[in-house]
Amino acid sequence: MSSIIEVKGIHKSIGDEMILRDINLSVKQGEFVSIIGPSGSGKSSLLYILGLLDAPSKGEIYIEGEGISFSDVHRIAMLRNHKFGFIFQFHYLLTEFNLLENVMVPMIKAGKKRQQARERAYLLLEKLGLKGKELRRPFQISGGEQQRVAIARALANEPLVIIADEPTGNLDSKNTAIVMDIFGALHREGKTVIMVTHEIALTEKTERVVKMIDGEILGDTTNPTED
Amino acid sequence: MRHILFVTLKLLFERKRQTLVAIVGVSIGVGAFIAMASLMNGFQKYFIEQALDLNAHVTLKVKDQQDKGKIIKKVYGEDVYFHVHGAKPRDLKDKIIDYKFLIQRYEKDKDLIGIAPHLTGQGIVRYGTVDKSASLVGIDPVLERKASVIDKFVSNRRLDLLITDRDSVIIGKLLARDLGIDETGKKVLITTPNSVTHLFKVVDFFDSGITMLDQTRIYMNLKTLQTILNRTNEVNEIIFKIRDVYRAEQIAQRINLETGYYTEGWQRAFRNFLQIFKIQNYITYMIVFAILVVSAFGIFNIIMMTVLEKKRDIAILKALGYEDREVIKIFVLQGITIGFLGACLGCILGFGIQEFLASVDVSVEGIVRTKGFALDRDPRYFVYGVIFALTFSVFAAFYPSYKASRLNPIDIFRSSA
Ligand SMILES: Nc1ncnc2c1ncn2[C@@H]1O[C@H](COP(=O)(O)OP(=O)(O)O)[C@@H](O)[C@H]1O
Ligand SMILES: [Mg+2]
Repeated sequence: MSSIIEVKGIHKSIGDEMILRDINLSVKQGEFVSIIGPSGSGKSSLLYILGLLDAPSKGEIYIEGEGISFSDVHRIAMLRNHKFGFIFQFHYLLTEFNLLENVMVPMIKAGKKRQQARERAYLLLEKLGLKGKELRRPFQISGGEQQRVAIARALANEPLVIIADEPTGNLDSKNTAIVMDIFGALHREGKTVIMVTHEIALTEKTERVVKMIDGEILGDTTNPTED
Repeated sequence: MRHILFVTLKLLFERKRQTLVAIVGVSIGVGAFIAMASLMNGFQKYFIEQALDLNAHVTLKVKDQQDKGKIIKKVYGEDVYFHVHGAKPRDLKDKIIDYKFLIQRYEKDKDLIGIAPHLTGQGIVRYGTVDKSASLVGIDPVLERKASVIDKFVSNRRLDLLITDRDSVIIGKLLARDLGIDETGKKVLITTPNSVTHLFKVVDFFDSGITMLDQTRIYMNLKTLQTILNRTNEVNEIIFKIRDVYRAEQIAQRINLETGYYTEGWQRAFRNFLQIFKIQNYITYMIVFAILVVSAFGIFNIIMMTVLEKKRDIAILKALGYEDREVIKIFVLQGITIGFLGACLGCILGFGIQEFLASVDVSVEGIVRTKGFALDRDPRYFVYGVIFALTFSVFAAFYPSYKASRLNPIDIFRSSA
């Protein structure tokens, strides 16, 4: 299988501080990768670069084999919209929009017809167990549900890869299990998932574990137990 | 564009109250502009129209260019310092010597439509026991018609009676009122400075709307006035009607050069008013500009607030693939929407004020006398109002929108984590 995201020799410094050092990583189609490390080790920073939300100070990024230049703002925006589905710890839904509209935003941006976008949004929300709540606003549902809306939104444009930064960091164990089950199911459907976490237990559900400490990758192992 | 509207409208209508306040601000600016512009220009146009109708486009007169020191200078030379006390005006002949010749000469002029002689003088008019001073104007009704629109202001269109009845007068409406005359046929006595008193019949009223004139003017046959002023065959003013009124000054100058008489175009005669109008316009537009600036601040404010409060949403939109320029569009479009809705509302408001002013039945009696307000309901004021509002709102929205577009989503995600 070919790698869909590949980074070579990535460095990132903020001011004098080097927060990422010589990162080399390649993620293949269909992989379920977790990145684990203590707080402040640079996991989020790496994820932002993998998801083209941030430019590295040094190094190269390839998406589906093609080199990325951050000066091509239009292409960067297109890739964010089409190729990536972002999920954050704090779900980040648009409070002015109802759940349906939140899921529709990336599709409308991609140029999908409103009606089609609406239909797909209904479908995704139903798939994530939010049927009947489509017209509620984000503050009218629970944290676990909000995170599921964020997942639905991430899936809206059938992305190449789902990028999740501590998606369960704010959830109780029950909702954590639900979200992890969803990721597992997505993985089985063939989706590529990169998830950052600092809970070792969660990495057990993933195929591959990347360990980070102090801005460096210290280990990259494939889990023997895979379901 | 749809993906921009989708977000714009949501952000805008989620904060209904602020949006509404901003819209109302703009609409007041636009409405005030439309109302003020139509009121001011209406008044000014009305005034100029009336003034143009009444006062000759170009007037030729004898002007006393007395130089008190003329004789002294002649005797002692130009460089003498002197002061003249108690100079008495010479018994100046206020007369145009060759007026019939002048009229003939300009009859066929292609720039002119009409030409008419006037003899003007002062007099006291008496009706019953009431005395009023009046300015007497002797006219040749046939020529006068071509050189002015006097017919328009003569209430019962009886100008011809001045020809048939040499002892008839047409008197200003307000003068008649002051004298206590309310119908034609009344007899008045007019006394001239040379102590001639003559009995006249009032055959019509003169109602121009210009207070100053309606309060003082009396028209009579030129021949009659010449007789009672003891100035047989004399006139002291010739009026010209011009094909293109805006060339009045130019033609006045030409006639001055050709005849040597003092001439004056209407713009010069009315320069004080035109000057006042200029100042008036200036003040009006300053006020309206101030209102628009305030409403622009309203727009600036609401969009800046939205940007500050919606930093997170802006970061999310960017993460979802919105480009910087699209973020600018989203927020500028909010400004334009406010500006546009405000402009529409402002047009309605402006129209409403116009309707109201038009319906008000006041008799204004200042420099001009009108029934209700003289409004200039030029549709262009609406167009200008809308253009101003849109321009202002784009400018007001641009800075905060630009700020929004510069937000780095990473900074937001990190700081709220
Ligand atoms: N805006 C910033 N300015 C300076 N240092 C920062 C900034 N953001 C993050 N860092 C530093 O970068 C390092 C990596 O942070 P981060 O990627 O968020 O780690 P993690 O997600 O693993 O907790 C940390 O040491 C953090 O202090
Ligand atoms: Mg982190």
